[in-house]
Amino acid sequence: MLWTVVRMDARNVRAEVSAWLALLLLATGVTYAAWSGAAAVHADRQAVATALTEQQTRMRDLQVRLHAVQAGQKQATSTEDPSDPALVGSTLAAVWAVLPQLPLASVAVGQRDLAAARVRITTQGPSGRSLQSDRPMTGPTRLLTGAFDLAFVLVALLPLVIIVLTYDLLAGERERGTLALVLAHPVSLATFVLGKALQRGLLLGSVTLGLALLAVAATVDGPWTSDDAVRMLLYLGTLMAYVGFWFAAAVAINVRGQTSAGNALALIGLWLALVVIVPGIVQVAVQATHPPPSRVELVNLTRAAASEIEAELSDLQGNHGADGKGTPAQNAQAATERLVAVQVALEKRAAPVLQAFGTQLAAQQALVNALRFLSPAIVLQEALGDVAGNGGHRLQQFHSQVDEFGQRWRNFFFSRVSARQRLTVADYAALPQFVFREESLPALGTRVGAGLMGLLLPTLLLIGWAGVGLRRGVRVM
Amino acid sequence: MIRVIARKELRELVRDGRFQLGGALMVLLQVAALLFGWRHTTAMQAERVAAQTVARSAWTTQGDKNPHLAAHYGMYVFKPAATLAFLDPGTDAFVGVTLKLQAHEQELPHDAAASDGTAVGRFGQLSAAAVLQLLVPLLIIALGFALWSGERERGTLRQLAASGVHPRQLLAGKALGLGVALLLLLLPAVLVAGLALAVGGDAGAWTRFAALVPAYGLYFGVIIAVTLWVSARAASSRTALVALLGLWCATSLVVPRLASDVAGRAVPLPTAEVLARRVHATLAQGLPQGLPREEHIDKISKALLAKQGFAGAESMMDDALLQGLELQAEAEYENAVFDYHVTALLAAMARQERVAQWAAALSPLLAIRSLSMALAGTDFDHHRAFAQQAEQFRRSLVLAMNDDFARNAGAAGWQYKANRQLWQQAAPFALQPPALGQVWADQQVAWTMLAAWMVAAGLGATLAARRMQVV
Amino acid sequence: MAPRSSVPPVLEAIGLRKTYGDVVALHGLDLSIAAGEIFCLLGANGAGKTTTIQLFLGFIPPTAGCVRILGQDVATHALQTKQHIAYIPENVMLYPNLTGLENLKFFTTLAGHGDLDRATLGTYLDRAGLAPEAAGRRVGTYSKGMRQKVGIAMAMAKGAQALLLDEPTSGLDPKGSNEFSRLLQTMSAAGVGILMATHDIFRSKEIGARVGIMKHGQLVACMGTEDLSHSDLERIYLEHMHD
Repeated sequence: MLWTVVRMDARNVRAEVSAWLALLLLATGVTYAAWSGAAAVHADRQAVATALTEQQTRMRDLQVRLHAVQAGQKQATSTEDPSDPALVGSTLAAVWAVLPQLPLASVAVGQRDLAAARVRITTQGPSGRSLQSDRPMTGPTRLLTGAFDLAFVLVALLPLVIIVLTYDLLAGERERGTLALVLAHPVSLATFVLGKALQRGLLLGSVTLGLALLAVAATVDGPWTSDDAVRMLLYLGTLMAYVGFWFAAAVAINVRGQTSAGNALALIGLWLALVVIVPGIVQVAVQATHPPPSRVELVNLTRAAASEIEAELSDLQGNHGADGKGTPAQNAQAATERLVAVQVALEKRAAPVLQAFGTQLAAQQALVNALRFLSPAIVLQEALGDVAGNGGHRLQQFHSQVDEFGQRWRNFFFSRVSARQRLTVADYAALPQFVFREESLPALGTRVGAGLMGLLLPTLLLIGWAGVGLRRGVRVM
Repeated sequence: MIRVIARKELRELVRDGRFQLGGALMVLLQVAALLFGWRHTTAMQAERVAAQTVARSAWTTQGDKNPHLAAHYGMYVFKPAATLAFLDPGTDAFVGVTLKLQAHEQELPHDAAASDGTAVGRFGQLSAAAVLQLLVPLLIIALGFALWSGERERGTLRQLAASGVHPRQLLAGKALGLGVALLLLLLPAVLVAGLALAVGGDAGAWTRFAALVPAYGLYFGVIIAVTLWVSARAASSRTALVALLGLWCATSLVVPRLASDVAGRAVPLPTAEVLARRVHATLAQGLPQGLPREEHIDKISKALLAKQGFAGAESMMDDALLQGLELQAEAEYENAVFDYHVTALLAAMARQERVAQWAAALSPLLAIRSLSMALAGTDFDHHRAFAQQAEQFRRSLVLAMNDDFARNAGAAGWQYKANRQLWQQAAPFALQPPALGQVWADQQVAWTMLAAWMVAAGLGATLAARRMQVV
Repeated sequence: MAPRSSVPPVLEAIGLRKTYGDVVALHGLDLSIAAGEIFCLLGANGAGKTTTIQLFLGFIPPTAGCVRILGQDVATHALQTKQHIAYIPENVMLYPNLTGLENLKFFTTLAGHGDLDRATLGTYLDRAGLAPEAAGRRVGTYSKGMRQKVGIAMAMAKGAQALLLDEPTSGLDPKGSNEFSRLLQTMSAAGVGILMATHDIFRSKEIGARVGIMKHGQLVACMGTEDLSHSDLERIYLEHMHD
């Protein structure tokens, strides 16, 4: 019986121009977004590759020069001395800490176009991180507009395609007069509605699934691990749950017995609420309850601290280097030590403020985590960012690991500066290396899984509500 | 006659549940967005003013030192918030607000607020402008999709046609009725905005606000005309609604992002690192197709010497003057390099903006968004004005410092120290936002597009009304 | 009234009452239609004819009383009762993008006769009077009469024992109307019980039906038409309408 309805509805949908048009637009949108996303990821990988090649050449060059200097073949100039720890640590050997792109990176741009995902590590310290980061430049108006990525197509446009396919699911039958004839037959309203919803759901679900898979398959880049397979499953699972949510909403609204125009307005209203207004309100709530500390004030604070510290140190050390009383070498060493002391003190001063940034951002993210359940759109957006590896969580982890690594980097060089050691070939081999430690899969799975539950629960509620409506019956004519 | 029809439409609309519910929500959202925006903007402005004061005093109290070292020490400037940012924050969250002005280096503004945010920020801001640009058109569609088709379906169109009213009058009446209904819903928001301006706005803000009102009026006029057009052409109300919603999605969601993506592709920008590498390479080697670095600097310093009347007579000058002039020659060389790269970058960004403005041919939203941001003083052009004026300010500051060095160092040379008096001579940085006329000229594409939309939609609606099938 | 026997009537309403808020649409209707019987409900618009048919179809629940089809209560056996009935409204609405044959196939499958092949279904369409070349065309191109014939074919293919008709002849031309009457008589002769709501006094007499006149939700008169002339029938009808 169910399959009779499914088959008949399949024929009806096949004859509907609007359905074809909507599906075609979805396919075009997904294709374009996937292509565009893949191009961006590719460009980014190339930029990283270029930077790393440059870094490698620079390092090799430094070591060659160090060999030459140590062998006495060559005199090092003071601005390019490969054995000077302060100089090497602050400029010559500056290394890139890179947040690697995951194979699913093209799914969502996430926060990658705004937050630093590539940071140059020097002895300068985290207060200058935003100045030391590299990313593709995106004009502010483009940042404001947002990217046309797969996440946008799936979060914002896909529900609209579902609405086109479902707004007249039942209302259309009533308006055409066929509902009365159907229900004069021994078929229950629930079977009929379920059959139609199932048909359209299967159609759209399989099209979406196919497109989502193709989009990823065509753009996957880089080695594929079992972790990525889990991410892929989370991606597809969340996506399918999102499709299910919108279908359930459409059925529930159809069962209320309004006209198809009324249904269309109600569904667009729901879309507007969930995709535009609730995220907007959540954003306002997040900013109002956990405002990030002012970067503007941070600028002045670090500057004031710098002059203060400098003044203190001058008093302490007596005006050594600047007065030029020692030998040039002694003066240079004194100046370097003083610079290091200033930097260490400065970072100590800036640490609480930077800490506050981290805590507030983490608190914001935690609040978003909790409030995302208010809108399936936020749930999906967050989940896509997570599986793509461009979400807030991963970027925050990257930043804290960068800060941690920066500390190691500074310690490495500063300890040699204060011990008045020169760098050796062995030191070069022992330079700290940055390797990003991925978030554990269970942690990611728990978060995305909770989101999945957050999609399934309202879906079940809607289905329940629709069931009550179906049992009560609808206006037939 | 038109007034009679308009009054009837208005009465019908106001009694409609959709109007009451949608209108109430709209007013609520508008007022909430305005109040939140106002709070945010004033807080931001207070913060920046305070920071500017602190930065200024850091400069003036930096102690006695050589003027060139003072130029190295530098000065921070902060971009003041635009008064109308509470209406339309525009690109504010996505551009930097602070710049360090110092010798030898031109910095790009950094520390954009949005980078300290979460992914929900990417759904778009819920500002008053967003409500006006995105949600009000939806309300117009919800209220107006059946204005023609509904009359036909109810059969009242036959009565109207039989009564001998000209279709144009009917159309004008319907448009007027819908417009007045909309006005009723927008009035509270206009009053709140006016109140906010009365508290904290200057004359410039009022002028810009006064220019915003007709711009939005034109935008809503376009939406009303398109709605009536589609409603007259569609076979049924249902078709009209679906077509209008489809149009809304295309013009408000798809076209802006697509245009932005295409703009990014058409005018590629370097990454920050690539740009920095290019600048350093050029600084070291000289401008492409120009002289090598040393020769270039030499040429500039010769010109400077000639200006001082010492051409070919360097031996007659004291060392400090020569050194001061050489520092200045180096600075001018660096300026030429920065001009070459940074100006090119800003120009490329501006070209991206133009692509988006031209895409307004496909979406009136892009036209009004551009106009609205520009009039509110929160668009990229205003930001560019800040970056450029700050750079001019940096150059004059560096010049003043080098000049003092050259003039007053005398025999002391690098040991020469200037004091507070000199620091205070440097006027504080004051941003001159582009004049309204300039904004108007910059937004030529946007307002032409909006006007073209109005003409096209008005013509379409009129023709459709005239050709409409009564039954 | 047909005599009660051990065989339950095909269509039966007992103390049927339907109210919408304060508005009483049906006021305790009792009705019984036996196999092979044609019963015409006459009455002005809003007299309760369509409500009666909708109650038999289970589209709306009764406020009081019950409707039975072949002895089964519609309220408790919603699906079973629909095995035996066919419904033909004034305007038979079908899926416009499907052909007549496809529509018939779909609806007969819904009725539990999915085993009928195209040829068999074709003969039903043929018997209902639809031209063979029309059966393969999309219903969107059909006239109202053609759609009605598909409706009849549905009833026949389903083997319906009761037919519920709501103003089936309004809007048909005299020839179509005549053909339709002939079909009804054939079905009635085959033992189908028919309930028809109509305005057409003359047609009711012609097909030899029993006639009930409805007014304000009540059956105010009930009579056989064999021993009445057209004019008598009209007079009685008008008498009941005026007061």
